Amino acid sequence: MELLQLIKMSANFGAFSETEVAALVEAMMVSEFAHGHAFTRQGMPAAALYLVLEGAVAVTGRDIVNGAAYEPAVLREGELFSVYALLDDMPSDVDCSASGPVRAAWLDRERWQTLDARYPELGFQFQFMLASKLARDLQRLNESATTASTR
Amino acid sequence: MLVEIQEQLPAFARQVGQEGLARLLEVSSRVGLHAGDRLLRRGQPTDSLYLLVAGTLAAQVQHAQRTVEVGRIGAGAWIGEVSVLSGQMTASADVVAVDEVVLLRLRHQAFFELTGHFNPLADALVRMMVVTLTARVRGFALREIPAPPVAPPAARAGGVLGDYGWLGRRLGLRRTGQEEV
Repeated sequence: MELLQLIKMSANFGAFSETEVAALVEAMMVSEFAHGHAFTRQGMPAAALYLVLEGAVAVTGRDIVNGAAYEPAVLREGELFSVYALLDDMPSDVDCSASGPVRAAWLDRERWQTLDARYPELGFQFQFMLASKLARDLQRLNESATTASTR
Repeated sequence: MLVEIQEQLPAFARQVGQEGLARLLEVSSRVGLHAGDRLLRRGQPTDSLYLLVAGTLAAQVQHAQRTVEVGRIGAGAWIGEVSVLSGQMTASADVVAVDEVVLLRLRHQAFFELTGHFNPLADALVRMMVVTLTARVRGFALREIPAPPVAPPAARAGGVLGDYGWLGRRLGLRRTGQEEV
C-alpha cells in the first residue's frame, strides 16, 4: 500500500489535516530493505522511525531487568516501529529485522524535528505517542523490577 | 493556588505559561495531605494524576510483611502519569506524605479532554512528561542486558530489604521531580 493511503488510514494520524498529512508524507523517505536488515538493535540508538509499507518485520528482545526473552512478534503493513529513534540517543528497546524483503517509510530525528517545529499539531501527536510508549515500557519494567526484588 | 505554583514551581509555571496555568487550574483541584496520609495504594485503581506542588512524598512497597520505602518524590514531579498514559490505571506503589504536602489533582477524564486535541497547555504537559519518562526508561535501558536466567538467583548478602536504592532505581522513582527535567 502507498504511504499516503496508509497514513490516512492510520489511527495515529487519521485526524490530521490534508496539509499535515502532505507534510508528513513529504518528510518521510521510502526505501527497500533486504531480508535480515537490522532496523533496530536492542540497547543501541536507532537511525529512524519506520512505517511498514510491504513485508514483515520480526521483533525480538529480552527483558532488560531479568533477561527473559520477549514473545517474538511480527509487524506488518501499516505498523509503526522504532519510535524511540525520535529521542536523542535513546537506546532501542527491541531488535527489529526484515523477515524477507521489506518496503518501509522512514523518518529520522532531524526530519522529525523540522516537522515538529513547523507543524505543532503533528509534533504533539508524535509526543503523545512517545509518552504512551514510554509509560507502557516503564510500567512493564517496574513490574519486572518489583517481581525480581521481592522474589 | 496560582501564586503557590508560581512560587514553588517557577520553571513549571514558565513552561506552561500564564494562560496555560490558568487553564490547568480550571480543570484541576488542590489536595492537601498531612504527614502519614496516604495518596495511593499499590495495585489499586487510580482516577487522577497529580502534580506535587510542595512537600515530599515517599513511595513504598510491601515486602515480607514490611513496608519498604523505595524512593522520595519532591516538588515538581508528576505522580500517576505512567498509570494514565500506559492505560494501566492502577498505582504502582503506595505513596504516602512525608510532611505537609500540596498537590494539584487532575482527573483522568480532564487529562484526556485536555490532551485530546492540540493546545499549548497539552503540548507543554505532554512534552514535560516525555522528558521525565525518557529519563526513567533510559535508566533501565542503559543497563547491560542480563543473560537469560538459568537458575534462581541466590540471595545477596544483606538481602534486598536493605537495598532501597537499587529497588528505587528499578521502580524508576525519582528523588525529586526537578532533578530530571
